[in-house]
Amino acid sequence: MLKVNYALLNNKISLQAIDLFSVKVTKPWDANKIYVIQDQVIPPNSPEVSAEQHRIAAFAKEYNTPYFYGSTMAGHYLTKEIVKAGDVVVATDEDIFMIGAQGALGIVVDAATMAEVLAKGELEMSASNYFTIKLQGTLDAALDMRSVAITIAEIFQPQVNAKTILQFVDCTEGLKLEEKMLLCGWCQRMGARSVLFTENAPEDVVIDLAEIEKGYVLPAASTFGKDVIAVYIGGSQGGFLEDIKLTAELLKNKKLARKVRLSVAPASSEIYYMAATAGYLTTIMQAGGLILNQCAQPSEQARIGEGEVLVSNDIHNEPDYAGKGGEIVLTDTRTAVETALKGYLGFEPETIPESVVEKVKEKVVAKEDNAEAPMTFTGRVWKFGDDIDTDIIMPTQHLSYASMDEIKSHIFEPLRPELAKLVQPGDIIVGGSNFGCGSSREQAAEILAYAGIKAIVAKSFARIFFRNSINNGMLLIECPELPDEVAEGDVITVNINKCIEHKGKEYAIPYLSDNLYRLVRAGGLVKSTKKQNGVL
Amino acid sequence: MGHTLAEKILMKNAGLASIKPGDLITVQPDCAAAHDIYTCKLYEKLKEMGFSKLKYPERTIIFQDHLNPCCLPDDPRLESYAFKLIDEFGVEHFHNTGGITHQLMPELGYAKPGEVVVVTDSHTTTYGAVGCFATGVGYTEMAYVWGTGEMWLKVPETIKIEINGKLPDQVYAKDIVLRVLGDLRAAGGTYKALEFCGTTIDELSVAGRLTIANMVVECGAKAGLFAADEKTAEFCKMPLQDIAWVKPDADAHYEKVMTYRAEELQPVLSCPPYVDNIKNLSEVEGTHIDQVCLGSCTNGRLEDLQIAADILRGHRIAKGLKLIVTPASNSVMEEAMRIGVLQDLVAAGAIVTPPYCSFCQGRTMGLLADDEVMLGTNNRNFLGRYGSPKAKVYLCSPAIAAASAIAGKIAHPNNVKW
Repeated sequence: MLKVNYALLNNKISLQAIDLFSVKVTKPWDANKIYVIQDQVIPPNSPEVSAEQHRIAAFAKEYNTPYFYGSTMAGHYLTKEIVKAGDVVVATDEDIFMIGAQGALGIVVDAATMAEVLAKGELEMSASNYFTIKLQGTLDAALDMRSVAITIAEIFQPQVNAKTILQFVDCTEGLKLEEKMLLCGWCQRMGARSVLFTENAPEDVVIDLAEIEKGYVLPAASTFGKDVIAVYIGGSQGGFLEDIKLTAELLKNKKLARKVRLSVAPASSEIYYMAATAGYLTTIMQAGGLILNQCAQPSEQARIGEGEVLVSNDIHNEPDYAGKGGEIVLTDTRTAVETALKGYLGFEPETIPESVVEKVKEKVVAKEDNAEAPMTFTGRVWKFGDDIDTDIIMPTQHLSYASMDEIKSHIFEPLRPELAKLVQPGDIIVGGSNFGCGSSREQAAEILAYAGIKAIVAKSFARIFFRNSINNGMLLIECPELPDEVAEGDVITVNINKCIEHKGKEYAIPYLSDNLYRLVRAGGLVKSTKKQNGVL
Repeated sequence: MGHTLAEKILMKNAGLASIKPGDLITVQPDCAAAHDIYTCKLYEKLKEMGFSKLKYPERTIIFQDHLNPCCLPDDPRLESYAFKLIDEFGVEHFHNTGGITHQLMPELGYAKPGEVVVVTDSHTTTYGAVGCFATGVGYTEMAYVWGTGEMWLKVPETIKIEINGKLPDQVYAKDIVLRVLGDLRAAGGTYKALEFCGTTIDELSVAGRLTIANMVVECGAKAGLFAADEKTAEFCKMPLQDIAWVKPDADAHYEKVMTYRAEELQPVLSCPPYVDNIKNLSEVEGTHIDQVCLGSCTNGRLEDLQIAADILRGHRIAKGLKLIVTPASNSVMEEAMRIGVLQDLVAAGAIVTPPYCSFCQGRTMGLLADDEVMLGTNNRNFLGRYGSPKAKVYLCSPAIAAASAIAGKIAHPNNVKW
């Protein structure tokens, strides 16, 4: 049985452990030794994630454990401030391996085991095997420890399994703490039980750092030559102060390649602070880069699309990590930043795709709408109150799906989540005053038109929504009396430029001016302008 | 008879000798900008309408301020439309990063005093602070403007809002506009131009005027205008004599005049779930909060960050509270770092985002769980906008936001020990 010095709780698995622990036990083994460091999804990107974070916070508050939120990646804090050589720290996140820089042993466990550790402060662990690498010599100044980690993984993976403790003996002129943190953290990719620096151990192999060459971790050979759209410098294994400093040096007085999105996420607020004061962040911004908050991750704030390539100096390259169908390349900081300046990895792509400009196919003589029967229609009413804003009609979170049907399934969700399924083409919305206020999002008008809403009758409308609706061919009718006298589910008949009929009563409606009448009649501004421009 | 500021600007643009409220006129916007929430739709509409080029490409601008950083799965695809518009239609001005549209438009000189500007966003009214008639439109409208260079406009009635006197301690531009919104209510300014004047307004910095103009759309207004003065000239880097005409005539006709004495104003907040649900700070002091959002195009300028930093410096935010800070532009953020103000906020526990629409748009980062309460210096608190429809959102000035972040509940800046 290993005596545990500290436990780290930081992610979803930690929360599962907390839940399991709370069922059985009332007191942890030593609250002062349990570090609750929230460094995942900062800030939260959904109500559910925020609620989970609150539950983790509640545990910390209940037992008065050390608590951090959104200020540092856990590995960085524990390595620099807490652990010392020989400590055993149990976590649910491989980031803990970073403490190996101090000669401390980080062990990753599942939720059930963590729950046991929280209760007893002890860890049952089967016997480990050891693989020891002695490091000597000096690394090429253009490289960093990432290339060392990539090389070690390429050559020595067969020697490492789930029970292996990978050990490093530093016989160079003295690696800096951050270099050791980087090496231990990056070696988590090998799937060992733990990674750490140690003083006295017979080595299995010796590596001369001078022989290390630049390395890449590629998803497929095909990424060479491909355009790179995004570069990420950050995370626990990528957001060191040295990385940000180097990024600034390489970007000084330069601009990113066209279309490239460069994101830099410091690993802690301390690093953020120092990088800001040193001017690194300003230089990066002036080159066109974005400075993300400490703890930011590509999966939340640097996404790519299908078939796109992200180059990262962090270790996360799980399939679909930064976006479904996107490809992630891992490499050292210098190469990643140079890629941001070039826009591709490796050599020049052979051909640059040309822009295709569509031309109008034929000129069609527009047919004039002559003497038609006036518009009249009947529909079922859905009723609303005053000040229905466009965030209610079309919430921001669901605004930008590619499919209109998917967007349509969220209309009115914050106020009436059941309504989207019930609306039928031909229905009519009746509202109070100031219908459609708030954001200018035309999608609010467009999606109601797409859903087949024939008209909206309200006491008054907000102006941008009014224009947007007319432009989308949806009829808006100001009628101060009807909304108070109609009930949901009633059927009303609208006679344009005449009246609204409901339960035998006629309600006066405004005259629809000629130009607006034509627009609605034509089906909106697009169809009307197409006629104007002679487009099919 | 004389003309209001709105009438004067519109007259000049339309080339008419005289106009009055209610007239339908044709204007040629001096600038027409779009951002990345709408570039996809704009591209589709331009093609659908049969335009193959833009009438005045030098007047068109694209900002990628909502979706860069790319946080949701479809964002990378949507970001690509800016490049299609540039390559296929010849849009001449482009900002992939750099800040929020409504800060960059006046900051970079796209929105000038006396001009007419349209943008695909409701808070376009912001540039009224520098005497620019600026208003929001949808993407179909913008496609038409980009293709033809013109659009029809109804000349608005103007409501004059006059504020005289000296603002009391801890009362800022944000408190002025919230008070006005509380009096006009959500539809009280619909289709109108609001015109701000008075000694208090004269004393406000351009940053303060931008805060006020930013929020006039929350009462339905078409524009929120300020006359041009020395401060405008300095901010816009234009000679005062060129823009001295950007002021109302003394005998202009107003639909309504609202007057305030600055001394009678108090710190106020918008209370959930409506922007116009205004209460005095004293009425809601002590309300527990979970998240404070400082910044946005409403209050994300250097003076806003400085006010907040002066309060937060040397302190930590309350345990369990999230403080998200969004400067409005790169230059604001760079200056804040140069003088150490941003670092003060970081040291206090802030999570600083890049300058973009971040927390305010409510799409992704900083969303709220069911029982959470947020306090923001931005401009909207609609139901469900920031995640759960059961969450509550208050709006306030940067001073109240900073003090409350330390206290963990809504607090008066003078009641937080520092």
